[in-house]
Amino acid sequence: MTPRRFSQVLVSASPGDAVTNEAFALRPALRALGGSDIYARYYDPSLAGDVLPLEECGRRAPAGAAAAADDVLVVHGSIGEAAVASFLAGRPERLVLRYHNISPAASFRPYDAGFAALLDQGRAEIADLRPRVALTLADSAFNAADLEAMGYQDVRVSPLVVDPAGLRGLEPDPATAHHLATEVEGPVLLYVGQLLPHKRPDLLVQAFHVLVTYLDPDARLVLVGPARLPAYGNAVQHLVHELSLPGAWVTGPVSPEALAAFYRRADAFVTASEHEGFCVPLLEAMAFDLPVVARAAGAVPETAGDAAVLLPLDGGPELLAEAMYAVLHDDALRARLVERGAERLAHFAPERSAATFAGHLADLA
Amino acid sequence: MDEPEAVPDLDDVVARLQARVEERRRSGAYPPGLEEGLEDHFRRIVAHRATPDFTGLRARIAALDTRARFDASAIHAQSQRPGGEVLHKAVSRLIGRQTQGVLDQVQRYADGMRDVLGGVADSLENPLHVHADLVEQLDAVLERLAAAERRALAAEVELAALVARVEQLEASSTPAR
Repeated sequence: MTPRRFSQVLVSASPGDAVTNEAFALRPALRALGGSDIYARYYDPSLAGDVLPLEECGRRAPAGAAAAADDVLVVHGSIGEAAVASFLAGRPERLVLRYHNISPAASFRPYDAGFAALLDQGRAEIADLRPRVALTLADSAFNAADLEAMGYQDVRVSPLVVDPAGLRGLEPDPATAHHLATEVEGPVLLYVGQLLPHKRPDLLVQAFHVLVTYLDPDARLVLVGPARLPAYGNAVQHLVHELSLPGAWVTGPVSPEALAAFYRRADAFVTASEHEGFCVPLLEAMAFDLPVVARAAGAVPETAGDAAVLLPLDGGPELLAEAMYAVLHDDALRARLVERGAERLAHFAPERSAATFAGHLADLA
Repeated sequence: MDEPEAVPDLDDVVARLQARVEERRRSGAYPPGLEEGLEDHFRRIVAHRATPDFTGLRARIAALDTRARFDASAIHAQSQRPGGEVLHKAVSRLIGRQTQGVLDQVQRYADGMRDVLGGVADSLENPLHVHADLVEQLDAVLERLAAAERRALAAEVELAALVARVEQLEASSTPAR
């Protein structure tokens, strides 16, 4: 009997991306269950071979065996793509939806109406997929609730398979590490994530303005991550310039090695995000023994647990600045957060999360 | 040996931070309207410096481009009348040279128009012009601001001198006890 295949389908795959990382982390467990490859509509050329073009899906079954109705496609849902939706509609395999959340279109609309429409389309595609889905696995309870709002039932929560220790094990980029060691003085607050409206880096900049004006003039803020919406990214840059904040640095996208250098230099991690489906950087920060300040939004409370200072969403830049000051200067608080961070990391151990995921798949009749 | 410092629960930490914000507002350490001012500032940046979305214009130019290919073979010769198709084909052969000449002219015009539209879209996306009127107005505002600051500074100096004189007078007029 031909073993059942568990192939994974992504809209796009790129190095360092959380969804792509999970697909790679899951692959050994899926191969243990049968066969498994990763297919994507778009992928970074550096991943060629590791990730296969979507049109090859189904052609790679073992010799003599066509794709069977018993085979499984694990579909990672994080953004819309009509070509992937129509591809899935014509496939005979059973579908497992792995849901990572689709960002709220409303916050994108003022900056890029076209991209906001893509997000809306993505939600519609996820909803349309429902009759074909045999098993639904959300990576957080927040995402499970989002799926249930789209009409899905029996949604199971299976934590994201993420290995922040891998990042910690990387050799930091020498040039970045040298620059940070020689040019960046004072306590460093680090934000890692895309510069997108719902992640509110603008609020972080406002809070940083309060921090350096009224509480700690020596502090630094580093915002690491790409600006997918140029209009919003430019607005954040303008805010930094107009508030005259030479201690704030918007780096843009960086390599994993450079990211490791930023984490090593940082004294605390901060985010003002008001929508997160999981928020991997929280765990990365904990892996680098950094105390974390965040806002209690989306899946942040369930990912951070009791290992972060979680501020209410109605708290503004003054409260955020006070929290930044506290985690930089209150040694007892820092120590407690770091200690709890280590415990939280153990909760999300990648081998444990991968086993949970594989266990759910094994339940498929 | 010192007792280890007690660390409050994280909810208590947040409550303490909130209380500190309130205290600083009450004492004036945080000026009134600080948060609103920062938020308004960012809103103004977004409103005034939003980059227009040209993807729709580009898509329409691309769609126009796909239709800007003129070919005699695209002129159909079918007819409802008996023998009509043969007649159309014969006429098209007869005036083929003239038809091609017209099509070539239209093609050249369409190619030129496509270049112009592409240039217009480029100019809209990356405007290099300067609004001289706005620059002049800004200069005028900055000059007035500088003058106001100079006046305020001069007033402060005069006030300090006045205070010093009053203190001097008070000191000299205070009877010795």
